[in-house]
Amino acid sequence: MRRLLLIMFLGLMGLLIQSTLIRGLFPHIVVPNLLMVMCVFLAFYETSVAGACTAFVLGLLLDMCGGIVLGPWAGSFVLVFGAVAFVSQRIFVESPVAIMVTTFVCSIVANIVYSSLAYQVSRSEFSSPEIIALEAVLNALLCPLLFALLRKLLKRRDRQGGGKRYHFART
Amino acid sequence: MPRAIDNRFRIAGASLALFCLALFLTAYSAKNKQAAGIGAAIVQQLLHPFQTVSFKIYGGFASVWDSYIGLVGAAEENLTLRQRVEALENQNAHLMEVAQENERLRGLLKMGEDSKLSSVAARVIGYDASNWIQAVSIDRGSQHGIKEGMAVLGSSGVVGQVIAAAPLSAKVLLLTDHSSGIDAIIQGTRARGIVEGAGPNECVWRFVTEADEVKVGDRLVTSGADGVYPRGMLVGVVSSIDERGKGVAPMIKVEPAEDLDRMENLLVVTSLAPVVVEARKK
Repeated sequence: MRRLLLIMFLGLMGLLIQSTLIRGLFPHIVVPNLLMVMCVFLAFYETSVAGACTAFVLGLLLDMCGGIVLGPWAGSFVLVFGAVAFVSQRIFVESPVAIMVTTFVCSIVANIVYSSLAYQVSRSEFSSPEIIALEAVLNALLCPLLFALLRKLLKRRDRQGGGKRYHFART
Repeated sequence: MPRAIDNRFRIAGASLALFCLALFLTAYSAKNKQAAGIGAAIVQQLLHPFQTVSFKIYGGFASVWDSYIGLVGAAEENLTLRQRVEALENQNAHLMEVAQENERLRGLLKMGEDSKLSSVAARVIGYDASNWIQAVSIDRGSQHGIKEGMAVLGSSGVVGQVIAAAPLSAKVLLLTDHSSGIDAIIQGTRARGIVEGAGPNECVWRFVTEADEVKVGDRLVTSGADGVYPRGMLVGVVSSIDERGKGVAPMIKVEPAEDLDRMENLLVVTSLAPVVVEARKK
């Protein structure tokens, strides 16, 4: 439970980095979705119902940050989590290429699901293929680094907290 | 092994249930805009201390950059700015003349009201985290008198409106967001329409009356009819007109007057109520 709370806190930090540092330094570029990468991480390493709930909360945080409508990101994150968790035992998570490809595909799927849900309620166009593709590439490039960072942080917490030993879903 | 399969299906079931919950939330918050506003205010309040600190740090770096490294090419920029100041001084003198004339004419017509606005100055401390919503966070909130629906202006023109107000910060939806709409008219011809957001740094002008009279370079100002924005504020300039063919309305693109990527200080209009001018009472 503490581990999931830590992930949520890290999600909040991810939101902060996305909304201040990256946007402030590079105002004209597409920002990577760090929470999306965290959702894929959860699907690999927290394959449980609690993990699904955490993915939902991460998505909801992103929705709340937007302030227009609640739910589309939460829905897309949960779908991505479910799909990846379902096949995670067949993916070699120690290979950076495997996780990069998975993150790339998940980003595209999540953005399409988000766009579809958001369109249903606001009738606004959220379908820029360039933005979706660019974000997916950025997420894929960042995911090996973020995965390593998250694994390190969570392992350290487990050692300090004396909780259950950190384990990989499948190697 | 069966246990692993059981776990996988349990997760799939939970994910499906949570997806249904997300669908319900989406439908609910679409009908009740306040729900999304409250959610945004909560996250805004959570992020506010971090945003303030990180923007101070970022501001420090930016200041060092501007003061030392960014001085390359300052002489050329100085010359351009001098020329611009001269042009603006001329324009200002002309506008003062027009304002005085307007004052006299109003006096003649016995129009006892003026459009003085009360406002609160604010600084941008954050942007939206996703690529789909065009919004910024400001360092003033409900404790400073800011409420949802208030208009926000920049140094060059309209910026957007407040969609969520936390005690110490607020979220501003930019005019370029897809869900934004402003009632606007052309400064010269008075042709009227709605300026809608169309993504980063772009807006489109829809439902335009007398669309044939619109030209590239026309300046769009707020009509004041929507009750959100004060009348006569510059929204943007018509950047292109795409004639799609007979019977179909042309696609009129508008470039916002304000540089939405680089703005720092904003003005939140806290009251649109007209103020009675003492001199005219007499």
